[in-house]
Amino acid sequence: MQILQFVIDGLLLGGVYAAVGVGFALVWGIMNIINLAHGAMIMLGAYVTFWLFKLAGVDPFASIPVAMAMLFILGWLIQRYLINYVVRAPMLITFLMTFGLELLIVDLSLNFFSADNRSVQTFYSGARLDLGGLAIPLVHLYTLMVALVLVTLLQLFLVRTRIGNAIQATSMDLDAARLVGIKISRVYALTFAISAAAAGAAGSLISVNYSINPTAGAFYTPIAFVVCVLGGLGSISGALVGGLMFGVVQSMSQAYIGPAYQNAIAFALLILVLLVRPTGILGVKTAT
Amino acid sequence: MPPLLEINNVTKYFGGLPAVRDVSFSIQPGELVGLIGPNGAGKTTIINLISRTERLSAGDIRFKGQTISDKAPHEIGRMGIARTFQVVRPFRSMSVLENVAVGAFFGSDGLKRSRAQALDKAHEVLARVGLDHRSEYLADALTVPDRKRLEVAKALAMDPELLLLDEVMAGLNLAEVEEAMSLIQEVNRQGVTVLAIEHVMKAIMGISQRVIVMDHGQQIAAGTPSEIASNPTVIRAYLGKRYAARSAAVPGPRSQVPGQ
Amino acid sequence: MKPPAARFAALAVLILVLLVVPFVSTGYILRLLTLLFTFAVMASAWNLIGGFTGYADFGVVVFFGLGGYTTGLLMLKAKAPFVAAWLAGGLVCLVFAVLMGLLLLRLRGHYFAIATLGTSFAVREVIANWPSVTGGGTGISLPIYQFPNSVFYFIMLGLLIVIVSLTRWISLNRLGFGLVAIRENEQAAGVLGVNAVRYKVTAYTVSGFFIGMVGGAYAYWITFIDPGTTFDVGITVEVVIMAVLGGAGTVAGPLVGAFILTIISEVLNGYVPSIHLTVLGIIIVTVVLLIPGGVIEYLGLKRKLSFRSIGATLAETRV
Repeated sequence: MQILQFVIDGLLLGGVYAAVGVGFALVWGIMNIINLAHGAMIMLGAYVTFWLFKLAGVDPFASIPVAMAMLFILGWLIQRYLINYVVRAPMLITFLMTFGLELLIVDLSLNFFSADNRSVQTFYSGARLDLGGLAIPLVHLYTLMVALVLVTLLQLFLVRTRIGNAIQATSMDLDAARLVGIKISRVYALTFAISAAAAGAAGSLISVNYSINPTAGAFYTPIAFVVCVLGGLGSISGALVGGLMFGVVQSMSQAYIGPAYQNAIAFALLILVLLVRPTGILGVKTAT
Repeated sequence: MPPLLEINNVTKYFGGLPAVRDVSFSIQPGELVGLIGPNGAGKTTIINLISRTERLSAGDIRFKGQTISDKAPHEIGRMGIARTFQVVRPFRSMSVLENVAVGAFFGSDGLKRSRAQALDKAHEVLARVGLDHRSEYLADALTVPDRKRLEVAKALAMDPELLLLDEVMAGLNLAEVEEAMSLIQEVNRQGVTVLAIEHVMKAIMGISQRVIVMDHGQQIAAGTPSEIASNPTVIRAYLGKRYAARSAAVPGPRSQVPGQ
Repeated sequence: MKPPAARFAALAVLILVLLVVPFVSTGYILRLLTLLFTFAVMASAWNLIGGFTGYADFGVVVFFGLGGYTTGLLMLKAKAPFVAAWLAGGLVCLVFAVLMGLLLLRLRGHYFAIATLGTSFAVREVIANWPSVTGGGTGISLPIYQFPNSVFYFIMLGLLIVIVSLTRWISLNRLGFGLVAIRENEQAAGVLGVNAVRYKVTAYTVSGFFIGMVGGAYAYWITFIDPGTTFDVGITVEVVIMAVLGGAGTVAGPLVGAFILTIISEVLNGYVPSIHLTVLGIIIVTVVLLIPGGVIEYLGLKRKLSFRSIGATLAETRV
């Protein structure tokens, strides 16, 4: 029974991780960019939800669309006016660019929002579902549900809509996509904007589950890496699988080995996967 | 005299697809052998297998009697086998001279060369291929025919005993093809054994002493250029009746078609 | 460009000046320069694997930390003299680099960067969670030294002179040609006879050794180390930025980058401490956008027959 509890905990945790990883996977898969500012964008989304809650009493789950919209615009601007210029650069350059952005965003956030830990506590924050001996915190459950919806919608968007297909096409063959009339810079802007929106949603979800502060983003970016590597790059559903898996691994290792080596294990797992199966569980082999 | 290169029952699968199936042939020292066949015949794969850019699925390759199918690519290079790539691979942010110097530093005797000696060797090779006047240019800035020359120069700087050429003449105009032909023959005359993949029929038939034909991963014919040109299997697979008639009637300036 | 004799003379004068500095300047300048040299050595070391070979190592700080902790622990617990502990630190990093290199250098691009990044996190976690041996999260204090600070100035300056000379030698000879060939096209390099594995591991190992030596000396200088600061990923990023800013793949690039960034950091810290990271972030973004080839490339200062920086091709192909 205990194991089941840990697994459930892990899956619930995994929901958040999946949300964190989805946007990251999109940008990495489509644009081949590692966005080191992803965690910072997540925190921005978290703060949108926090301030809406604190100042206007808006329920955190209801503010998710707002956070998504705001981050969408920000993401669009960032890509269109900054990242667009280095999209085809050696990976090092884009790495540094996004790192510079991360420094910027985090430091500005620290100045505007202060470094205090914040969290969103609603009336149902402590509520739990008791299913035959298993404790399932409501907030965690809602989070998982939202995360699943998010990932599903994104996947459907990519596969079923024309724009989504255009996005996929550019990642497969840039020149061919151009030849059929796809405007690459617009596709990239859209991709990055969607990724930012997903980050915003992840941030909203995190604000309800954990405490947030501007530097916490640095914790989530490596998680996004691990989730994407586990699940496979270029794969949205991979981010889901990776997120859930990682959640369970973390939960189990925390239960049985203790919190101390948790992170070390996470990174060891990362390296192992990179060496053994770099395309991840569901990933697609790319030319790079 | 033992063959320089022996390809014995070589097979290569990519996934479930056999790119090369049970191919065998050998090359004697000093020969200039052409390797032709329709696209997808497996010609480049053969070269990749020799240079160990790809690994064998089955069979054996020997160089000077020694098995080489278990060696690393750089060991192949050091043993005296040099190759060019069909889509040329210049070191783009290095100068032309530096590109060739890499070959001079790492080829057969390269590990003994000092910097000055390697650069001298590079200049010498560049002069041979007619590129020395561009030695300070960035490899990136060269025209297509010059890039092909550079590709060959890099290989030559290794002082190879066996030179594997992969479609060096693709994309060249008539005059450039002539130059390439004479360069290859010159290199061969100086003692380098050459195996050249080509699609430019006039050129390869004109300079080869022997031609091997592949189709769909298998060897379908081998012989002198005129034997090949009149071989019905080859004609059916590849050449077409018109070429066969033309090559018998009109020899090129350096053609070695017997009977002319 | 100036003839070699003039350039050599200029360099000699510079070194003489640097040797004299500790005796005529303030403690602040001394500290600033020592810090500058510290980062300049690391940036130059990174340049070997990241700039010349094109394998962007994001685990720089793992060697810094390992060097520091090896030196610190040996001095504290085994009562070893500094020099022995220091060299042991370098040795540990060397061995670690060979092992890690053989394992990780088979990965390319993003994967390699992430794997090295992950390694530095993992090692930090191990050190932080092993209090019995490493003092855990609270860190350890090294024995306090009795000699003046300027000793560390000279140590770092010495390391700097060595690594820069070594880099220059590498860039002119077979190893350098091999590394750049690997960077430009690893497969083509292989068929030309370059033993890619051996060369990559060599570059990575030399890099790790020097970073470890810096870490060991730094630990003794600061006298206190803990996992958070000694394995701070910010150090890795600063080092990489310095090399890229100055010009990765050139000999002088990392020095220029270290100089510029250290000065800017000090100025920012002095005048606008609250947003100095913001400004730094803006600077990084601007540099990456405008001069991805680095300062050396931008100013056209490259000598003939030495290699262009990796960002240069980007600068030219940008639409």
